[in-house]
Amino acid sequence: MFAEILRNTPLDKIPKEEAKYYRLMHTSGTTGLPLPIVYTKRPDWNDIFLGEGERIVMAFGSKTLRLDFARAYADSDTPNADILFLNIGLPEKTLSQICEQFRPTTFVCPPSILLRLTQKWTGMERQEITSISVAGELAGKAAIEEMRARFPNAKIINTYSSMETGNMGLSCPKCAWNEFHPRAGVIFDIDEPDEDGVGDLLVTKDNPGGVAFRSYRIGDVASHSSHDGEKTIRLYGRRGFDYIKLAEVLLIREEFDRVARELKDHIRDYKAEVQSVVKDGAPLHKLRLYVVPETPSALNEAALEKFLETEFPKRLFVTPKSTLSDAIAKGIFAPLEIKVEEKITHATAKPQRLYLVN
Amino acid sequence: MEALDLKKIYESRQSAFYKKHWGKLPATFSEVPLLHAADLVRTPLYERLYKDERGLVKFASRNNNGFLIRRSLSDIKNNNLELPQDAVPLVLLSDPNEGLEHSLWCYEYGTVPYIGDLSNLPVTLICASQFKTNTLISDMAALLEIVSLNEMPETIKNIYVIDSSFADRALLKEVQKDYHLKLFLSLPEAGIIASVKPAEADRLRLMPQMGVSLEDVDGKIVVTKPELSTPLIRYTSDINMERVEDTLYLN
Repeated sequence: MFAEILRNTPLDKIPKEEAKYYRLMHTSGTTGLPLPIVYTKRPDWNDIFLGEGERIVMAFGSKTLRLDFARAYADSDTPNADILFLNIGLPEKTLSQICEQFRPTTFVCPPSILLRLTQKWTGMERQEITSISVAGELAGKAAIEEMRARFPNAKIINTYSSMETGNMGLSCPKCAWNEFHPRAGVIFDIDEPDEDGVGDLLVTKDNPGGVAFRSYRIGDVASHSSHDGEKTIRLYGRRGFDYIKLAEVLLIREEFDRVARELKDHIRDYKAEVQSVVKDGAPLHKLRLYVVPETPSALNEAALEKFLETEFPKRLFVTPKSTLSDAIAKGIFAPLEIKVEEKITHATAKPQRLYLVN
Repeated sequence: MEALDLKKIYESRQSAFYKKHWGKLPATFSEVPLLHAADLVRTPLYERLYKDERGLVKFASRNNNGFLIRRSLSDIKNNNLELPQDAVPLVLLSDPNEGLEHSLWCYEYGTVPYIGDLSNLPVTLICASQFKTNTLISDMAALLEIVSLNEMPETIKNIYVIDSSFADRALLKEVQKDYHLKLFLSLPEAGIIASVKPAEADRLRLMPQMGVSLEDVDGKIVVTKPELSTPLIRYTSDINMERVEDTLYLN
């Protein structure tokens, strides 16, 4: 498959002579084959960085994202901030030591990373934060409320963005947790909306990287919305509701299906509901699995719940190398909650086997 | 380094770091007290900066003690990788911050790098081949992983290794059979400090970079590189060396 992706990569079209800067990337391919995109213009600092402050912590693992950020920074007329690219895989003690020395004013990172990182900060340290740019995952209602309370002096910039298009939308204080205003120059359309107005999101944006996106099917499902006379969109998840990305894990519907098939002697049908909450100052994901038992089942309802509470997490991978059990042990997830039902009901016309609630 | 303006550093208005460390103004360079990593660990970053220029801040550690280092854009630019104009580099280092710095260096010199990821090495190497990279910029740990995988892109002709020890001499000898090899001695807190050339009897000879002085103090390299955000003046390293007359060798 990778060879096929590379065949589609227009390397010969890269204007090597003209462009001092270009970037070639593939999208993740969650809605099909990864899509190669060639950027012929340098990233613009003002497009990439929407915050303010003198000491910026950027906590994203992607090297291309880091390099883009650093390149845009190096090209800006007057670099007036220090940037620290934080490796969140470092031990907690080291991360605290780094932040204590660097004394950040600004964070650019997924919300759950920020909340975990600053969980034990003192009031004074929290007050020094003047700007938070949230990206990389949807910030749930609880996370936004916690950030507002924890960082009283910070301007919280909640963005809707993707690796390939950059920033597309911004939340205002009146927006719901999943609601965004289009940024200037961005047009959102909904393709084939269902009776709830929910459909595939199409994005039109002239990208500063030199790529024009025209009615680009980005892979998210959304509906039009508005408040105070201004148009917004509300996001509901990935196309087909096939995965949910959280900061440290990726929940993939196919993986849930695989485990359900492995446990087919006990599970006839299921749906999984994910909720992100804040507990004791740290983000915590809660996964609830609604299960219709296979009949006849060797286990009664209570025994089945107990069995699945341990067996399902042991088998379900949430990263390429770790299971839900590992994530529960690390405190990223609460213990799996099982609800045995007679029938699975869905909130929308289209069945959603895996969905995020808030 | 006798020409180094010690008074200017001592009386700097931007930082009193060396003034405190030295106590009194040294009369000559050889009287300058040695600087240890522990001195950097003890002193917060913003109390040992001698340049207004902002930049990338990274975490370095020595003997399990961590400290922050600012690498301004001019600090990064002043590294000299001696990369030819036709180089299409694959930057693949085990430390992501080092990878970022060397990629930025490539851009500064009009060369577009392909920045790779060790955690996804087979895919990285396939893409590097497709991208027609001809020069691998790596470190010893990353190089060992790449060589062990036995999937080096055929397009790669040159290998530049940036490292602080070059401990695995057997690996270097192996790689040297098939590739044009260039070696650079580097410390995270200093950047590149010397070119390293294979010499007689499998020894590695050190050629300090412009603006860098290396001394042999009790068999360890002591570095002076003043043009940094935190100037390093007689900074002790853990790197073993030997001086034979006027020639420096890595041990």
